[in-house]
Amino acid sequence: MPKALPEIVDAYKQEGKYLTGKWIGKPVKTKESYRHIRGKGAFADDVQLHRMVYMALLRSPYSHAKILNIDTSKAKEHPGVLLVLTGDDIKKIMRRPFPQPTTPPARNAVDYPLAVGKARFQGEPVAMVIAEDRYSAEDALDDIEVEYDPLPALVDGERALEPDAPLVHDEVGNNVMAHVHYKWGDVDHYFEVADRIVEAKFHYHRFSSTPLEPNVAVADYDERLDIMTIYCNNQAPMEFLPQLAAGLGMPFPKLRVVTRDMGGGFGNKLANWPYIVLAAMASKILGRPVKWVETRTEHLQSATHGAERICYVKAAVTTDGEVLAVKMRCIDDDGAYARHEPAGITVWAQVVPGLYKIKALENDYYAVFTNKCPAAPNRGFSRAPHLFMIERMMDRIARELDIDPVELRLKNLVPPEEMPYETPNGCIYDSGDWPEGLKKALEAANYWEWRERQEEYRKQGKLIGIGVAVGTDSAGPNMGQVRMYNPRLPYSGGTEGALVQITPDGKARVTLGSSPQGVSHETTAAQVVAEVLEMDYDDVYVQTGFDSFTSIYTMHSGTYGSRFAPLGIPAVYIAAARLREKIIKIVAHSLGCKEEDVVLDDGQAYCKQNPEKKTNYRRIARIAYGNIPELPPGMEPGLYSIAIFRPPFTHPNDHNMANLALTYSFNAHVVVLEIDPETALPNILEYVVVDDSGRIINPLVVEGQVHGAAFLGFSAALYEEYKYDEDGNLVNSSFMDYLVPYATETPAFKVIHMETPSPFTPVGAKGMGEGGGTSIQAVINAVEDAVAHLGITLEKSHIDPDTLLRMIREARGEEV
Amino acid sequence: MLQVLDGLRPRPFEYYAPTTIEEALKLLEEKEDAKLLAGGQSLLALMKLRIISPPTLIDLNRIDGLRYIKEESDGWLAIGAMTIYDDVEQSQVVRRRYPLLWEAVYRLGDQQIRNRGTIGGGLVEADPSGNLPPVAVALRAQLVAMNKDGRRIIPAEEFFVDSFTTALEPNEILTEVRIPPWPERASGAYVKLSRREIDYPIVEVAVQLALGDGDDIKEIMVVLGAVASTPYRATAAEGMLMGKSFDEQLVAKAAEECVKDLEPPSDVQASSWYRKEVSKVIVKRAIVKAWKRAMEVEV
Repeated sequence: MPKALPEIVDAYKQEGKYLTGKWIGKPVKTKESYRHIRGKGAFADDVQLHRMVYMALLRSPYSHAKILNIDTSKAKEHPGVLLVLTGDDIKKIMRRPFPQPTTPPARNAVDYPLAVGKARFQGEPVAMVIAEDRYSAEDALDDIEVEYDPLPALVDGERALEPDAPLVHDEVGNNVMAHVHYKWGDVDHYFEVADRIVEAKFHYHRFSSTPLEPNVAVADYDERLDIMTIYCNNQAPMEFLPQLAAGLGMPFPKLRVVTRDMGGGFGNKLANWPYIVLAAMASKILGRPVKWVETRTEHLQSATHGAERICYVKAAVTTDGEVLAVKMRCIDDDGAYARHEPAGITVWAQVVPGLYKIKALENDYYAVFTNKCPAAPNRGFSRAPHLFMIERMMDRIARELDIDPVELRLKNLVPPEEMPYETPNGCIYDSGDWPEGLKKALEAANYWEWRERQEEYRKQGKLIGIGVAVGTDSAGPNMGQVRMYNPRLPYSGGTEGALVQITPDGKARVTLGSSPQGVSHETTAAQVVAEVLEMDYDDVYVQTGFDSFTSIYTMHSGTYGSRFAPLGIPAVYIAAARLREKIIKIVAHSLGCKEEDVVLDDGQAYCKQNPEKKTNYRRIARIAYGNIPELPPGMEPGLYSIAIFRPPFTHPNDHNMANLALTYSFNAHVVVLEIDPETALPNILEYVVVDDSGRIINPLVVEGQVHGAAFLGFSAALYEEYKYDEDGNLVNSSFMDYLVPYATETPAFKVIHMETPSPFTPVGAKGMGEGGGTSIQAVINAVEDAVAHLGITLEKSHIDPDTLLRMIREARGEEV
Repeated sequence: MLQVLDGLRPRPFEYYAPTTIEEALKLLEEKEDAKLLAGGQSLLALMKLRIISPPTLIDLNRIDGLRYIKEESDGWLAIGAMTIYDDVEQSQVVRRRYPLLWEAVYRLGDQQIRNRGTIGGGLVEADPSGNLPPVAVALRAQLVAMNKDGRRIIPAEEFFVDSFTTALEPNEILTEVRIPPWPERASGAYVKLSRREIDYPIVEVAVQLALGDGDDIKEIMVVLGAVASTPYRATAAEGMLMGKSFDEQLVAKAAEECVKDLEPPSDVQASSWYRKEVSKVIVKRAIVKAWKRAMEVEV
């Protein structure tokens, strides 16, 4: 594919007129840290309300079972218990089940927040208790008697498509949640002319990011005002507000959803609304505030998991290493309900060719129901698994062609002169010098030296592996992507809102449409406002979290898809820029000079001709809010500015073509590790990340995200995996068994920054928080590289020492 | 086993905090199925997950005189049962005389756990993969138990009866751990294999040995943990090494020998096969380390 057409580039182009570099790019102390370091964070569980009561949930021990009977009579008698509800009760209260995003027949699936008729995954709630205190609520769960009739469990995504597989939803008639056949470019032609076809199967395993703070909801129905206030830690409250409004029969202006500090989100907290709906219904019934806090086991077992993906991949390549086209057949195992999935069946399309000039791609893609925890986004949602397939495939191709994997990548990477680059499916890669970035990473990790020494080490019996992967965090999604699996979804484009106000005392007040999860939006938004309005960073106050009564929102609002830098920050910038223009008009009028002669400097303003005669924001604000005759004639009083940023996204066309993300950051990971040949335990010797996320607003924030994303992948590849047995029991549902590494295991990541501004955002910043999952592919590439000479190949995105030792022994012809 | 855990709060229980051992022993006689609370690092977690729900807790933390590390005149080292892991880890005497005990404690959980967990609690729990039981057996420790009528001494090797089961009678409290003096040229090593440092071991081994005049082994104890319901003493391996001079190949053979009859459990962290395979490796590494320490060629 070629460089993108100039008219497309022009349509997306943004300019930042008011960038001075005074605040943007500086490692200013984050606004959030001050309260967090003192242990004074304002999390949802910190909400304490008068007469508050507590919710506890009884959960199914079976992954698949008919519910024959639930006897709650004893629980209702338990001291302190106020309310006990089962699925059948909820069915009566809610007029209809949650609307399904899917097309028929998957659309026939019936989803209530408490299981009705049958339980479809282990940990699915079947009954709820509200009591005066949490102890009583949990004690009363013991008194509920449920009679189950266990059914055969479906725990394998590939098995789900077999005609005799158990049915997760009888109403659907099969286990297909969604199916899309994608074809871009002349795939068949390239497969005909190719010198060679390389084939592989890969398996992206089940894991999640396990935020420190589990899901929390406090629902407070105020009978006097008829207002329902929800304090929660959902990452995109506007996504579930329609469901809540329908469930409660209340209009939006009566529903106030508030998020505050959040202890991590990672996408896991996008689909916690079934619990919020339960708490809200209970609060309305009882007329008292209801709090629910998930336990760790509940979180691991039944909150949400990242989807599992299996892909059969074929690549058409030339002998000298050009990758022409790719054919895939993929299955996403999305668990028991479509509660945010099957969006993943489309979201991967933001990065169809990976970072390469692959000309054509075909993918016959299924999303299926299984008797496992419902899937939802997890850092790198859907794009990370796809990039895993591509990056693993590049290593396989390199091995088959006997080319160094780095040479193969350099040969196929999109070169800087072709930026902005249009992919086969119409996405626009905005900017970057990817070959240069990869070279920087190789140099910093002494790649060539390690390659030379690797052979020597092998002779000494040591297993050294070197893994390289490149990635992009495609950011600021075009939600229209979901229309590729359901063209009738009324959901498209990608927007975010912000409000910037100069208050009457001359300070700035900012609200955001995003729901930050610990990603320092208060800080970066304040830096942008301080920069544009030429005022002190400390005078900018950004409201913590989201509040549907005060925040400026659209239906896309929230924090997911690495969208704050590409969509949220532009809204802040534009709102501040408009306010700046108004302030300049007031100053020009007030001091008597032309607008172009007005100078703003550190919260003060003067005319170029007379720098001695100064005014300041406090005086300007007094005029704007209270001393109206001194405003320019006809000007509207007040200093409010609302902006909603709108990139020119379109719906995907009939061929599933559209630009699906606004910015594409770049990263390259090089990892060198050693595998103990006797125990197969890994030890990371070197870890280098090169990151280019456009113009950096705050290097501290970017650094933190790079480390977080690198950690996530390292951890998923070597430690974290949800393991189900054949009956659908999750066998590692606590932090004792679900292994999240500590500092003792985590390598020191060496981070190198590049800064190629995005032409498509006014500040030039790109989204980068998810990191594209690059570290998983780099680590797995490294492990495979360490044992490839033994003839071992790895299918999965996770490897544990037990499995690896077995492979090594088998490869050496030993009995295992 | 279906694992659905309802909450993070224990079921109701009675709580007593006696200030003397006599009072504690009396409560233990009176209260049926009571559990003793020492550091609470395992007990409270199990109660919060409602895996166990004892009707009564008797808290030993207010009883004075159970937290000490004393070198006695006859060369024995006495450690009070309520001595926290961190005290043991920081003890120069322990580190100098019994490096394997120091290592076992140093590699136990994290600092928060070491600040609360006690040596008595860690032994009485008799977790098959606890760090301390194999060390106590390898050092030939003696465990002092008290009831209202007096005290008795139980050798460590007889103390661990089954998983989570000890030789203590329901009315007895462990009050002290006594470690005998080993000869001048003795040393030991504790090696654990786990995926994360904080984890319970997949396998662990405690080795204590004493040398003769040269680098020959005069006495040796090789004890594995996490591979059976109780600490597993590898007597065959010990036998192969007795009287022998330092020889890494012989150690490797002894390690092979020592796992021959093992049938370790499988769980979510590792299969039985893996446990057995890596047992060989860490037994070999631990014996070599202990031997080199005794020869003073390695610390």
